[in-house]
Parts: sequence; structure tokens; C-alpha cells
Amino acid sequence: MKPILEISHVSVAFHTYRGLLEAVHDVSIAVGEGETVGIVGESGCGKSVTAQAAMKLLPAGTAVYSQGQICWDGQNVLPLTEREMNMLRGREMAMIFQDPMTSLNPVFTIGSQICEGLRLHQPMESRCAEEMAVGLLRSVGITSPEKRLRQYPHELSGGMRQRCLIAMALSCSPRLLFADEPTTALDVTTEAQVLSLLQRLQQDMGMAVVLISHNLGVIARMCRRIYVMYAGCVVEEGTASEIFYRPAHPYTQGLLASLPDPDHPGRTLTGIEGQAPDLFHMPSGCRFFPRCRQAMHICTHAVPPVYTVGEGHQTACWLVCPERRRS
Amino acid sequence: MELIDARHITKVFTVGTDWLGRPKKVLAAVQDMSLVIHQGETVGLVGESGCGKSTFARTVLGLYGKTGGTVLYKGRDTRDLAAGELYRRQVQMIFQDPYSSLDPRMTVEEIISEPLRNYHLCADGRERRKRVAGLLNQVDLRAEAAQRYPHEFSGGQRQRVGIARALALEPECIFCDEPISALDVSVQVQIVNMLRRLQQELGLSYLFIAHDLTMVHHMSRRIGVMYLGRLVELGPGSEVFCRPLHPYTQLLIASVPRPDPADPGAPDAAGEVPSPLELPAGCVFHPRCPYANQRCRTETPVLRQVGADRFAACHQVQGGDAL
Repeated sequence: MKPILEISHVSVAFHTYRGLLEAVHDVSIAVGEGETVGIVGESGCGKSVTAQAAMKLLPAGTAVYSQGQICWDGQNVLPLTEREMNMLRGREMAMIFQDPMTSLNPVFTIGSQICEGLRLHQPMESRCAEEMAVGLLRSVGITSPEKRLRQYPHELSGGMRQRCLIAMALSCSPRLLFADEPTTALDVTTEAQVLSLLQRLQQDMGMAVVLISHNLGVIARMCRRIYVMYAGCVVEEGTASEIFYRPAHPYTQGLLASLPDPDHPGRTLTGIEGQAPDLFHMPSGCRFFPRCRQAMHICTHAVPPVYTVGEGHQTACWLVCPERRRS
Repeated sequence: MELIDARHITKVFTVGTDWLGRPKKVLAAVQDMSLVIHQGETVGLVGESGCGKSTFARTVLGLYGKTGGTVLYKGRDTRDLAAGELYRRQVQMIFQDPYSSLDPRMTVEEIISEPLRNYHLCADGRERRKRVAGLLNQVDLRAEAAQRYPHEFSGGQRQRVGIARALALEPECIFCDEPISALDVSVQVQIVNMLRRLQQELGLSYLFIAHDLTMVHHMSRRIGVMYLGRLVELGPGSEVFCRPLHPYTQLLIASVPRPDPADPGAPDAAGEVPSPLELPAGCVFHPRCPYANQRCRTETPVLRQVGADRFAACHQVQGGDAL
């Protein structure tokens, strides 16, 4: 399968008062046509920065793409101008954000916000755009869409707002949708509704989805292929069953061991000790070694290379080094 | 032994007033809820946002002033002066947001020793510092942390400071209001493991409030499920989690995405939570309930015993059998 989006060895840094801060280091991610890819990791690990870098949504003055390239359909988008990017955004790739309250404009109606995107990419009469907006709202399961068009974001519930954002993102039938923690702000029953809506729309439209989440349950339910990120790096990638049933990296193992087992409530969870490193004081060698229970001497000074441990399953950890396994 | 016995707790907020100062609308945040916490036990309380979990905890603690219902502490009414004073000291709270629940202008030592000062304990500076160091040690923070300010700590460390503050008065019971929902998964485990260790060491009782069902199941011996200000189901943790009786509990448990790619996923849930200002008549869950009939639309079900130590507020549940 030829990837539509290929992020290869990208590092992103930000100018701060304390100097250059590298938020994403040497990240490579590929997304195939119609594929659902998950990015999982804890806060501050660079999940959202990776997605926003791919759409070049990071503030131009402060963000620095220090290496690598991002290819959309085989074309590197990093040298593209803002104007050329605007042709891609919305039409080719779109994004839904975590917080449905702050990503909608409170002073415009839902209808005008959906129509804005529609008319920007496909010149059309406002009445025509409104009809399309009604259809979009109906397709994301909003009841009485004609009424909702005239309402403001504060009049809708969290789940409804997230549906409106999904409708906006899908308005120009993008080929790739970034969903950045789309259900984190929602309750479990609403979360289940939004997830099945996303699944249904994806099947109908055949678009690719990059789902970013810290919730392993959500990732397991939605994604076929998963990237695990820690402290700005991808530490493991593989198919969902490889990651969940045969996790190779101690960080992934620790994440899975942090989840309570419903069959054995009360059993002490192993989890992960310590806390994620400060991005300014990154440990040398493997970034996970200060928290790793299986850390070895080599981990403290040498960055682990990426090893293949199974079909389509790769991890950056010295533990799976072939020389070590042989001895 | 029954430590806290909250009976028929009701909390009503008024929303907006007309020109005579009369309330326009009332919001029944908690309605006629009773819950018992035994000594050394963890009671979990789950429900979606806005269902009144936190309001219930705060009302029972007396943080909202005048309310309906009574709270008995070791069998004595907390409206009684002496019992009330003891109750306020023996029951402490941990808050959800470790960022806003600590005063940014106070050092950790001042934060932790504030409850001590309120009760005129450890008046001597050296003694107080020793006590604070001991408390910090209990929550796995270094003694040097005492002289630092909350902004110097990560979310998990701040939550530890909040726990140390709650422990300062050596309480018997701690109300944990979503203590882990603002934290990362790996840090959540550290806090949960610490709470369990403290419970064993100090014989604490917990009211553990969270929306993460699997974590509540992990922590609690008994679980109460709330929906729109009412307790809809109450029972032993594994029973409620593995064999839910109330249709809402069933929906809630089925909606939790499981970390297993082979899991088929949740069935499509119907509808949305209604606004608490315009509650449906009869059973508040009937617009979303697949089993609703005429009786559910008119008659409000009350929480009744449906099995050994199991309670449900549903007309359809018969003698402890799941629908």
C-alpha cells in the first residue's frame, strides 16, 4: 500500500525564552490510503505536535523543522507556501481537535462556520452551502439540523459540538483526517457514540484517519496500526494485535500494565515509576532508561536503534538487540 | 462499623432569579441519596459529568451549607456541635485538579501545615517541620519539597501534596473527588497504588469518585452508580461491574473501550443525557432506556433491595436478575 502521508525523520523544535526546545525528535510515520493509524502516548510526548507539523499548523515564527521531510502524495510539503498549504488543508487533510468548546468560534452560528469552509474550497451560493451543511449535520447524527444551523456553540452539548466539528472537518471529503484526542473531553457513553460515528464515516468515505489518544482502549477499538510515542520519539510501532498482545518496548509494557484488570480487581498494578523527563533535560542514550526496570549499562549513553521484532513490528530498545538475544 | 451514614441527601441549586429575587428554575443536583461508608472500606461512586457525584461528596462534607437530609458520623448526627466538629476533622477531601486546589503563593510546608494551624496543633515550629517532613515521606516526596512552591511540581507530585494535606489531621476517611482524572496513565497508577498503601497502613476509608469505571472497580469494594442526581444502582464492586442490573449501568459498562483489539466495541448508545434543568417525568433514564414502558414514563422508581447487598432503582429489575 502506497502511503498518502509519509513523515520521515522529522524533528520539530520551538524557540522559547530558555532556548530551543525539541518537542519531536526523528519521528517517522506513514499513513496508507483508507488506513486507521493510532498515535498513543502520555501528555507532552509530542503526539499533537506531530499531527500539527504534518498539516503545518505550528506557528511559523516559533516552530523550527530542523530535519526530515513530510510528503503528501509523494510531494514534500515543508517548502510549500501558506497559500499552497491552504489548498491542501480542508480539502485533502482535515483535523478535529480535543476541546470542542474552544475550537468553535463562540460568536458565529454553527451554520456559518460550516458554510465558511465549504464555500472557501468550492465556490457556491450561500443557500446551496446551507443545504450541504444540513446534509452534513444529518450524516453525523444531529437531530433537526435546520434548527442547529441557527444555533451558537454554547447552545449545544459537548457531544453535539464534537459532532459539529466532525461535520466541518468532513465538509470537503478529505482523504486524511487527524483526530487529536477527539473524545477526551466527552463522557463514556458519548465517547462510544462519537467513535462509532467516526468508524462509520470512515468506511463510507474511505478516508484515512490518524487517531491521537492517550486512552489505550480507544486506540485498541479504532486502529489497525499503532505508534507509541515517549518524550518526543516513536519508541514502538506495529499492528494493534502486536502492540497489545506482544509489546516489545518496556514503556509500552508499562502502559499496558497500568490498566486495571477487570477480572482481578485490587491486584496491585505495576505501572511505570518516575515521571516523563523535562524536554530541556533529556537523558542521554535511551530517553526512557531512568524509568525503565530493565535498563542496562548501554541504555545510559547510546541511543537505541530501531529493531524489527515481528512482521511490521519495530521498536527502539536495546533489549531486543539481536546480538543480545543470541547470547 | 458504620463510619458515615448519609441519609436522604438532597441538594437543590437555584438558577437565576426574577425581579423579586425569587428563583426562576431549580436544579436538583442530588436527589434523595443515601449511602453508608463502613470503617476501612472503599466505596466507589461513578457516573458521567454533571450527574452530581462531586455535589454529593461536598454536600455530605457540609461544604454547601444548608441542605436536605442528615449525615450520621459514627451514629451521631453531625448537626450536633461536638459531633460536627469531630466529623469535620476526621473526614478530609482530595480534589480533582492538582493545579487549582493548591494556593500558588504558599509553600508546600504552609499548605500541608495549614490544617494543623487551624486546629492549633504543632504550634512549635520545629515540631511542625518534623510533622510536615513525616507527611511528605508518607506520600513519597522528599523533605526538601517543603520549601518549594506548587508550580515547581508536576501534576502527580502536586496531587501527592494534596494527599499529604488531607492526611495532616490523621483522618479516618478521605473523600477522593476524581483524584486521578487529571493525570497521565502511568502517574495514575502511582497515585492509586499509594492510596491503597495508605489505606492499609492507616486504616482509612475512602469515598472514591471517578468517571473511569475500570479504575473504580479496581479500587472499591462497593460501587454506587449515579445518573442525573440519583443513585440508580449500588452493590459489591465485582457484582455491579460484571453483572450490572440497571440498564444505565449496563450502558455505562458496555461503553468503556477495552484495551483489547479483539473486543467488538460498544453497541450504539441511544440519545444524550437530558439537561438537569428539564428532567424527564418518571424514571429519568427512560428516554434512553431500551426496556422503558408506560410505567417508567410516569412513575419514578426508588432504590430498592433486589438481592443480597444489591440495590437498583428500576421498575424492570426483578429479584436481582439482569434484564
